[in-house]
Amino acid sequence: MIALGMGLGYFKRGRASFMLRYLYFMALISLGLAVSAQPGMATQSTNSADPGVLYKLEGRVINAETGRPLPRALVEVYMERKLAMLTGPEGEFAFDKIPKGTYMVRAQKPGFFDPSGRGQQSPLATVEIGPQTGKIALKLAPECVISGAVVNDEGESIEGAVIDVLISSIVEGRRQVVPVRNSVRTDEDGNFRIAGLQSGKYFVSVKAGPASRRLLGELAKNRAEAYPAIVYFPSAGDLASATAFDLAPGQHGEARFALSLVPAFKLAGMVAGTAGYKQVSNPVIMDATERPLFGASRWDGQTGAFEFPALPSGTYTLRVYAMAEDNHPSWVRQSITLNRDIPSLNLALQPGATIPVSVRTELNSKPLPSNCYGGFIGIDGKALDCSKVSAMVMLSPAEMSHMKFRAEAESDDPSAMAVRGVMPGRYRVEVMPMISAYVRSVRCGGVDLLREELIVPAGGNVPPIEVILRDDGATVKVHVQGESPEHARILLLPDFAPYQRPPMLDVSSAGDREYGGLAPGEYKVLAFDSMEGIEYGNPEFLAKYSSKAARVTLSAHATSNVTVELVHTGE
Amino acid sequence: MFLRTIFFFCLVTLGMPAQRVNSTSPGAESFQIAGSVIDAATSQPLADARVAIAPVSKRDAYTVALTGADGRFTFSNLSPGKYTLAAQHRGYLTQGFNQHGQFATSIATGPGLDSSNLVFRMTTESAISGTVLDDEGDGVRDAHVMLFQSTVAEGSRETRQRAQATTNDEGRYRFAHLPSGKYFVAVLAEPWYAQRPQPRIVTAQSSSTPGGLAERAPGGEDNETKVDEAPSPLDVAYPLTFYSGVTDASAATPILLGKGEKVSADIDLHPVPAGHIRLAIESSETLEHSYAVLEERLLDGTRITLPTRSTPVAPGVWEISGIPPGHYTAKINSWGNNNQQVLQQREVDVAGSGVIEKSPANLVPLSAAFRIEPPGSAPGQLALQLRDKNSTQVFSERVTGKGDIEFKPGVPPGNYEVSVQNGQDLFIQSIRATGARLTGRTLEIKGAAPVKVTVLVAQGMGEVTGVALREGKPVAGAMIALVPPNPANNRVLFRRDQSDSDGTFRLADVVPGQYTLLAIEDGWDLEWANPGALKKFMAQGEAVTVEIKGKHSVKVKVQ
Repeated sequence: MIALGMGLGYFKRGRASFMLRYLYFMALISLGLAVSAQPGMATQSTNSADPGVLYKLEGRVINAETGRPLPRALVEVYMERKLAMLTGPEGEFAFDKIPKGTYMVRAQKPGFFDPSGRGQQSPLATVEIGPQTGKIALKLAPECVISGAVVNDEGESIEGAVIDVLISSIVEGRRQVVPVRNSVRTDEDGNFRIAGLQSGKYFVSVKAGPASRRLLGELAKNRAEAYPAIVYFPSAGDLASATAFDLAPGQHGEARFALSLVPAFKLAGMVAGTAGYKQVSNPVIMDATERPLFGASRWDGQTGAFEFPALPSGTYTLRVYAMAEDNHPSWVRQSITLNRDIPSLNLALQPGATIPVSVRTELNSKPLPSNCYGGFIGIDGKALDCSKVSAMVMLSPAEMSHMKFRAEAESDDPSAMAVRGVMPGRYRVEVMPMISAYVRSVRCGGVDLLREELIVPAGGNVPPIEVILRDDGATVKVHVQGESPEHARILLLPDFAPYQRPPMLDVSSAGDREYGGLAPGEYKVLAFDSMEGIEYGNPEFLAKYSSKAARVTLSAHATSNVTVELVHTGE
Repeated sequence: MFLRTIFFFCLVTLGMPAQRVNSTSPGAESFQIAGSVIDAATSQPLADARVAIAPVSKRDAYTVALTGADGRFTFSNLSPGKYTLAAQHRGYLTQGFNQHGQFATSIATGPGLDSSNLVFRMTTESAISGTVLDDEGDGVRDAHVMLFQSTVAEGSRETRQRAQATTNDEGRYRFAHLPSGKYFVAVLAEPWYAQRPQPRIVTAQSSSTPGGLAERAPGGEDNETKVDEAPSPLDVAYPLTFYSGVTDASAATPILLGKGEKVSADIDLHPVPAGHIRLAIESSETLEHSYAVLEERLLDGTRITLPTRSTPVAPGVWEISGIPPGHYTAKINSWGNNNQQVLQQREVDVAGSGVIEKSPANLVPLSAAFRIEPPGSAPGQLALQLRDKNSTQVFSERVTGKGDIEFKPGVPPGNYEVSVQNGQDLFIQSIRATGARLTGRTLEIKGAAPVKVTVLVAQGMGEVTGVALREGKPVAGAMIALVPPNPANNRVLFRRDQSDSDGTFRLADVVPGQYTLLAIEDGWDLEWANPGALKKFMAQGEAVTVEIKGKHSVKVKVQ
């Protein structure tokens, strides 16, 4: 089954920090949602004393950048019955008659953000109301705007060009450049405007392919030409040579693109065997990071005949997806270098690989009850009951993280699973035990999948994936040394499993942490004061910090001590 | 020539690189299509206009050319036949040759036909843009802006929604590529700071209380202090507002947009205290998959869903809050198994804060029985369509295997044009109705008594082809109309076309029966569905009796 997207709901009891690494982003987002959606829950009031005495809450909403007051901001106090008012001309607000207690207070205004940069429209503050309550200040950071225009060599505006604002962020421990919001199109004067951006480092891309199909006059008379498939501001073909907008709160970036035509070529052909499928997707041309660039301009799902509009020269991946009557997916995934017309490309849908997964347990004691309750929910809407399997096994494509394949139980036997319909490509195989055990090994044929990627060939056979779980885990006691270690996050990096996402742990106020159930072996241990910008799922990135890493060897049933120096990421 | 795919054709093919014209087989006589593109207003030639042709029978086999500095274009080496012609140029409307709505003149090539001196007149396009502002003069973000155009369509002047847009962070919206005409702009938005009262959950124990439903706040204790809530001053809503700032549709200011004009239309929104209402569903078995909405009637008779908040407050009871005062249709929809169904619908008047006035649902049960000749030839998709002549609202239901139809929960009273859809050559041969008056194909539903319609459907529509002539010479660009008897009540039987460059035309899918065929040179603005509009032309028309599967060729005099 395919789990598309990041929409993975995941619930697990106990050993919360072990699971935290998977939930790093989810947690931040859902925390805010939980509070706003259920304001009643936020009331941690202890209204025991003096129920009749009521207090006043007053203060000001101010622009975090300028320090100036913000009039007409909405201030809400979450109590049994929510209180709300708009601030006055000096940003001031005052609520009367609030019983003693602790409340959540929120300020918001269109065009402003939570200045903490946690991606929320409005910050939540916790306020204690009582005789000591003074005036409070709520800060809002102004949003950023990127606007600009797209013109051609002659300075004529290009209408209908697709603009994306991208931000470089860490998704599941890997750095990816992802669109911040929905694409916008340039208007008939070639202009665009994207507001509602938080401060940050942004790339801007333009895809003018669709525009050159809408507009006249730009194409030469006898030669097929097109705008480049994608241009990153100011005129780069790839992100590495693009210029980012580093916007402080309230700043406005201006991106003007001047596009030149490049030779364009025809791409047409036939996908064989489409008739036997329940559903066949329109062929799509994607870039190296699997972002869709062009859809076929002609497509006949019955015959499989397809044609793309004249495409700018370049190297692309063509993808077609089909689903058989029994819901088994088939794929075409073909790399194409377009430097001449390709008028009749013959492609064949190949059933996605079915990879058996067996989980063997080598347990010394009786297995403890399952660690899991609830389950995974992919955006395919199907839940996987994690109590029915002894481990979650996910195949995550090396190029992207938004499309995953997961192993499903084949029968009542929790140790026998299979991943079905896998698209050809390179994958990282991630294993999460659902019983109290660690991953001893993950192998496929002769390949050690803890160290290497899994290669799934088109239509080819893949040997079974064999997972071994053991329960003779090791324990580590980490001590973090350095200034204010209490905010540290520890990464435990097994030398023998660079492609498994490492446990990420928090520490006590003294900087200590004990953690068990680990696979015996050699580890590097790192401690960071902040995980911002840390690609914890990327071994190449973490290699930069190897001089700061402490080393420890863990043995079965034993506890080892290690002291690690806190890395200040701001340095 | 009917332009079924003109816009797809223009948008997709005109942007394609210009290609060499396919050469015809050796020995065959070849022809050309040539002419010049000019500005319709100034008659100045237009350079670098993109002109495309495609055979009428094979519209994706296009060829594109650019006009020279003199505005000339030429397509050579063409086989005899008919070609569609379209042009595009920055600042001008993309259009078919001599285009009138969905019709255009196709170019015929062949011996004795002059297809080399065409004059393609392009019209400059116009735009409407503006800012939606709140009471404080701040732009309103994410407001839903609708553009309506008053135009002669389907034979009568109608106001129809043409486009919609969402305002940006500055409150700005923009409608570009518009033809000149009469427009209206409407805005629907919700104040960003609006606060809605927490709906009071109705307790099960007290629901038997005579005279109504007991309430309590969610999370609160039963029998606890019943706070007498003063309405929040922020419980406000924006009424549907029309340019230039009025909430009454009849007071909307039309925007008269000239050719090439860019008009600015700013709209101020003023919040008003919001009301809330409570709706009880009669049958609540599908409650968990249902939701309640309020719809407001727009200028074109269609309805838009208001941005209100709906909360279930008890089994079978919904509370809707955030409603500006006005008259609405409340609907409780349910869905499941891929189909959506309206469970209940009623008219409501909301006046002031919290004041409710409910009028009973006024929907007339409507059922239909189908008989199909020859029997057994009914395709699965066959549907009966009722189109309200005033509101243009369409009700459509598929015919079941047994040949019956039931419109659930019913249709409001009105005058409906009746037709079958997706019939694949099926047509209504005869129709009878009880409980409503039937005149031609118009069903007049009054009162509340159930209406039963009996429809006889037959197979084999006819075709009328011919040539439009004046003093024996073909006339291009004339409106061809096949007029049924009693046109006002038989609008669904009308067929129209535009004569091509050789004066020929083709009317397909004609329901067999008696007609008068007309060719009118400047007929494009005629409100032909209104009684009397065609009267003066009828005497000079050609009477045609279209048989089942009949193919008729008629010469018609251009008037």
